[in-house]
Amino acid sequence: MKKTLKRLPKARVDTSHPISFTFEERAYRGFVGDTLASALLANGVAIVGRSFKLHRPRGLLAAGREEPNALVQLESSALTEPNARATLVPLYEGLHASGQNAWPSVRHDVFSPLAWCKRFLPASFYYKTLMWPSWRNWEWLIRRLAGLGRAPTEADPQYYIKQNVHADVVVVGAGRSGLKAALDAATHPENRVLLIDEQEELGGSLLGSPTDADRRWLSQSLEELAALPNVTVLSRTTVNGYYDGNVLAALERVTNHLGPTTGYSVRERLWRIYAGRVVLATGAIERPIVFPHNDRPGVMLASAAREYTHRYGLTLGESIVFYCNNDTGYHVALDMTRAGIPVSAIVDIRGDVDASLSAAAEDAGIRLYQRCAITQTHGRRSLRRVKIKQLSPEGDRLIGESSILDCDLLAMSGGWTPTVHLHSQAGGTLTYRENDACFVPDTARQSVRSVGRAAGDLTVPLNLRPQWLTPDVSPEHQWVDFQYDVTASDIQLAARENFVSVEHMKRYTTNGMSIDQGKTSNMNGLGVLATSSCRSIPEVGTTRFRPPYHPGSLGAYAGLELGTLFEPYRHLPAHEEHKSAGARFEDYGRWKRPAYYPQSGEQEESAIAREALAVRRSVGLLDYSSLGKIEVRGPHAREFLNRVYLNNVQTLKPGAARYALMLNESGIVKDDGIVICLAEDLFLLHTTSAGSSSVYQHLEECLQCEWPDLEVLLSHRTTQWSTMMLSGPNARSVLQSLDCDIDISRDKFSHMQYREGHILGQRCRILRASFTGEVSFEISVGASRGVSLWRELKSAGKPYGIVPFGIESLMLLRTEKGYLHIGQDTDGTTMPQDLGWAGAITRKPTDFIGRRSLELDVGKDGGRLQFTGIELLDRQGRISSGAHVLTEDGRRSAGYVTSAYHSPNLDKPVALGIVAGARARRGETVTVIYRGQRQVARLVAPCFLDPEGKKLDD
Amino acid sequence: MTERPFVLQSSKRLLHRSGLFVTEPSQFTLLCVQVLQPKAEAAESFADRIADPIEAVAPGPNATAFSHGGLWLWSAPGEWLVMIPEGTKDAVLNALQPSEHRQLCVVHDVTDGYAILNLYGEKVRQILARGSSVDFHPSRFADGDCCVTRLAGIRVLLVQLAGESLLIADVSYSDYLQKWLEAVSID
Repeated sequence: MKKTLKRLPKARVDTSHPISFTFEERAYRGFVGDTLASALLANGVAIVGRSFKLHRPRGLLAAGREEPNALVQLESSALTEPNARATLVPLYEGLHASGQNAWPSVRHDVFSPLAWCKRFLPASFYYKTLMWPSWRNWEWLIRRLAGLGRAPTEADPQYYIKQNVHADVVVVGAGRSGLKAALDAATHPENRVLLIDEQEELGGSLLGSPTDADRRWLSQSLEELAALPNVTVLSRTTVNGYYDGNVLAALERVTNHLGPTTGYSVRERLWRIYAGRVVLATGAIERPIVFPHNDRPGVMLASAAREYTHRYGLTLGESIVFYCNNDTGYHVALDMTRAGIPVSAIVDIRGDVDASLSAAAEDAGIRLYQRCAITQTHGRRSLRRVKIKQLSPEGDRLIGESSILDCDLLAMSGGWTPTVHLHSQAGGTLTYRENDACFVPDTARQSVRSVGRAAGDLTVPLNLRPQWLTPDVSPEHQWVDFQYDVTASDIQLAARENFVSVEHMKRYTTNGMSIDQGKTSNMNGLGVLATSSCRSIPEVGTTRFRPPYHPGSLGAYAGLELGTLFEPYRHLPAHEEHKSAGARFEDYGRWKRPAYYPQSGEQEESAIAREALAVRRSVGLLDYSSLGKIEVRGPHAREFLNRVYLNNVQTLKPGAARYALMLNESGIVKDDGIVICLAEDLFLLHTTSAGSSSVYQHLEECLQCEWPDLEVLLSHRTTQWSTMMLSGPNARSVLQSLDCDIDISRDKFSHMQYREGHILGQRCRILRASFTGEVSFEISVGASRGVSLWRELKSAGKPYGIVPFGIESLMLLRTEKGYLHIGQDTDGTTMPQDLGWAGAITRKPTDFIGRRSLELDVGKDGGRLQFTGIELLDRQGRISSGAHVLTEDGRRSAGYVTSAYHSPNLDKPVALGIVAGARARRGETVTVIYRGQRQVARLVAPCFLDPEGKKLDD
Repeated sequence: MTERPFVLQSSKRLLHRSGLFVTEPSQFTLLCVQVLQPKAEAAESFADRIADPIEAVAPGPNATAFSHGGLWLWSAPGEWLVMIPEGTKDAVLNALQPSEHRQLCVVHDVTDGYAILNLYGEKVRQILARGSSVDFHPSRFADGDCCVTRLAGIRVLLVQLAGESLLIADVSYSDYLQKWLEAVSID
């Protein structure tokens, strides 16, 4: 590759501002306006990468997003970025890049001998050869060799952000067609126009145009655009996905052009775009020609040669040969000669080239070899010469003698493929255009249209004669997919092995897969498959395009949803009090709830045991504010609740509360809670903390869709109230010591009763219910008073040795009592009869949601998983949640342990579980297995402490 | 609806970033007014009840209004949040005495249940659009508009007033929202 000493005069690089960078640890110099690719070419670097499978040396093929070879690793450590295309990386001071898939360097790669093994490594070789004796014997090796680039091993310190935007007209692509479409749409001032382009500057292929007219038109259009207030321009932004509802996803590289940033600035922004209508001006991609050793460094697309010459001002070679099957090669060659670049020859597959074009080339001193094909390329590290041979008039075989052309750059043009990815992602169909041998957009399913080259409007006729592979020479080294080392012989093999569906061929050969997504290989692959299977290309069809169009960084998709912002969280009103008390928080639903409050040096288990003992022996205090609270009001409130709960609500009197189960339509237990009758037409539901929102939605749905005739209003009041639970034998004494106008004596305020009044001068609600098995008072005050209530209760409980206890301690206490925890002790199949609630179903005279399902046979099977207590025979043993209870023959699972603790009050392990037919098997010994360890246990009633419930009546 | 709400006159500063200021108003009471929606067959009688103190003043969907000494915000069909100055609750409740004709109406004091953030600055709309898919362009979300949407994964009520926005969310998300605003306002 020729080193460019001086840039051409019209180049769009600023030669007064040099930039230093390194590639493969060697220092180079480029200029502002260069990409890494153009700077490497300017420095004469021919090899920029190694192919994926065969480690063949690869040079630059293209100048844009379609580049399959120049994948580089940018920067290092936490800031490293794999698989960056050198053609898209703007040069910045200090840029550090290295090649991928090679060791120690892309220039001297120890794996390069693999290139000689093509015959032994055809497509799918691993499917056939790595199965013996077992895939696992090879897996380690494949995993070491596979993959492109290295993922960073440290956390990315850069910021990524997401942004939604709405626009009436979205134009994708700012080449000539895109600029025209944007200017046209913006003439209507009410239109909000969003113009998106992936390059550093707007202009598309106009940026590489040598003509003054094009450059003038571009600068005038950009000036017009800048003056329009209703146009927003996003450059350095790639539209990656087109989804239903005219929603597009685009990735903006905000500060990539400045290099890695470590301060508070955004590196990339993921745009979610809601478009009224969309104009796709995404252009077209030039196709390579398939011929032997077409992957050698120094072989490049003609469009790339044009771009590097006119946009970046490079002199790519001293002797340039063009190889084409359409007129593009002539136009580019002539432009280059006008710029003073030596073009020595054009090799054309066609024999019937327009006479004026041929004459112009000859006048420019270019030798023409028409109806010829290149049959070989030579050169160790880069191209030195090509071998050409005459084609028969039909183009199906080679004739005559070979001749050699010396050259250091081969620019090829195999035709153009409109960039239809987004049109296809939007659900649009494609149609095959025979003249240009390409698929073009046909019908659209959303409000989208393609314009310019993306629509197949190639401005001037190509006069193309397709040649999908070179005849009469081995297809083994005729590359179709440069990135994945897929050759024409691989596709022929797929066809022979009956992988004739284009989707099958793609997966079998990997043609058009992964990072590249077939931008340069798809059409040639279809052509070879069609030829091999004796079908036309429309008969073969094309693969479906799916997002993303171009790979994006994972950071952009994560955005700010990391660390503490990974998902929304909720704080209890007294969160800071718990924090200062040293609580260990855990996530329950979205709530950050204190799990336990360890004292200095105390381990989790000891802290939980201490708290549980204190509750049983004296009194404990729990922040229960997350408990769901839904008010149901109206003349039909009672009737409504009677329909949605299994339990009979009709008999519930004001001031009384009742534990109740809520089922779904299939009779599966959905939630449990306490229904409190505040007045004849007003009820308060205490639901599970995590389930309150879903219960509220369920109730709303029932009201709006099932029973709109019921006059009922729902109010979700969970966070309006702060609830503290006093629990333990001394709970009443603590509460009585506070200024409270509610008579809480045993006779006046019994279990499952509710009162309203004032405590410490604040309006309060007190419920006597228990989830610990001890006398408990759930005291609710306005959320803003929660902190002061917490403090006052702690202070009042000091004489009784009150301890704050967390949710983990509560779980231990309720397990000792055998109280059910929905979601933990139930699964997606649990019906009320599995929990011992068959009697309640029978007793209830009226209908309720789920009743019909409960009467089906499936609910009556005695072998269902039933709620049970599980007791280890070894009192000192340990039992874990998730342990399986084995069937009698010890070969299968008969259920599992759902809750398990070591009870400090009973000094033995206690567990609950769901086991097949457990109620009828009470007293049976079973084997419990956990991580391979077996223990003997007994199925018992699910209550280990105070089965008569005497403590609740204290 | 361009009047500046009284409730924003006393505010605690929470965040100050380039183009974004976040304060927390104080000295207000938030009421939730719920009215049972009239059924289709009762539409005529609903029209008759327009003289009712609530239905006469309550703004329609996604709208706000100043009335009865409060800022009324539509929050759901048949439901409004009403911000009133602290200490005026009883007067407002009296003024909203339910009509004899009304099927069912409830007024709750929900001050403790909500966090209200006042956002102002040139980047407010842009920053809100980082967490919500609502079209915040001034022509689509104008002064006096409000909407219930998901912002940063949680349900919020957004209110656009002259030159400032109110973000109303469940109080338990207050810390999360503030941290999210802090993070998302980096540019």
